Amino acid sequence: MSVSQAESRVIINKTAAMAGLIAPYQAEVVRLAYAEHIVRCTEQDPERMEELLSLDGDLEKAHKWMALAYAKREGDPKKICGLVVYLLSNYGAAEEDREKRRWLVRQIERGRVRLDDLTYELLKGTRLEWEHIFKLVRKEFNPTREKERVKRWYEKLTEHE
Amino acid sequence: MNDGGFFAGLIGGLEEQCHSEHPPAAVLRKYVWRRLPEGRDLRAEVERLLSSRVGGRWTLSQVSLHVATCGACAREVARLRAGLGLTRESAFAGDRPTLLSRKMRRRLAYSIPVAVTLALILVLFFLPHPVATSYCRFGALAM
Repeated sequence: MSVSQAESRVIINKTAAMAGLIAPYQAEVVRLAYAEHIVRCTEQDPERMEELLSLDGDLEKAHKWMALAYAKREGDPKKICGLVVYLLSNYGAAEEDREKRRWLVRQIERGRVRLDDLTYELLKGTRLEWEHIFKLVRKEFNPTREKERVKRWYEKLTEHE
Repeated sequence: MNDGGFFAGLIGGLEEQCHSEHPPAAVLRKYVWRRLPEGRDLRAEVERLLSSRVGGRWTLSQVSLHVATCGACAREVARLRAGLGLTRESAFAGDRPTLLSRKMRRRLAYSIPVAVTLALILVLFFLPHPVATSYCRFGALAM
């Protein structure tokens, strides 16, 4: 898709969202589904996702998710999976689900949960800490470095805007 | 996470919705036991979910996002995780109710064809050669 086509698609999506044809809820569902797929390593090519991820015209969020997918392809995929797990766990719900957190942390500590077992529903509100994420991906890494890598991809995606 | 809000605003979270279609109990059980198929095409997966035309083909993400926004299904999933005569700990790989673990099944999937092939080679190698015998018999009959 050329830039002008993409831009016009975003304008159409924004207009549809303003007219109430596409609820922000629907766009959020798409982005969370993509996030789940990133965690389970079943995501589709980020270059094909821009239109779908910006159904409500929110290109900023769409590009951030695409940046995560590109960063995952570039480096160690497990580190980006871990970062997305952290984001879904800590920002996926306003309230903490203490019972689910206790259970999930116990599963992680016993090595009974793998990345491909995880869903948004299972992670939301669990407020996992980095030590849990490291156990889950079975390696320690520098989260700041991974976040910087994602930000660099985001800047690449948005530099021509 | 101190990243100037770059990641903080990325996930809006989903509020509870009123759904016209719910996954059947069998699908929720499969979800808890992590036996639902993965959707191959995110676009089709999401379109079906949003248009409430999932039908009988629920995928992992569809059920996850439905349960995340449906109070009744969330309670059912919590009940399934806690109950059914199983501890909540057993819902994942370590204690799945299968005769063999995933690793063992994978090993068997490779080793059985190899073992069968080897057995066939051995049988063919040690089998008495039938051609010479029949030739003699034929010769004897001819005389």
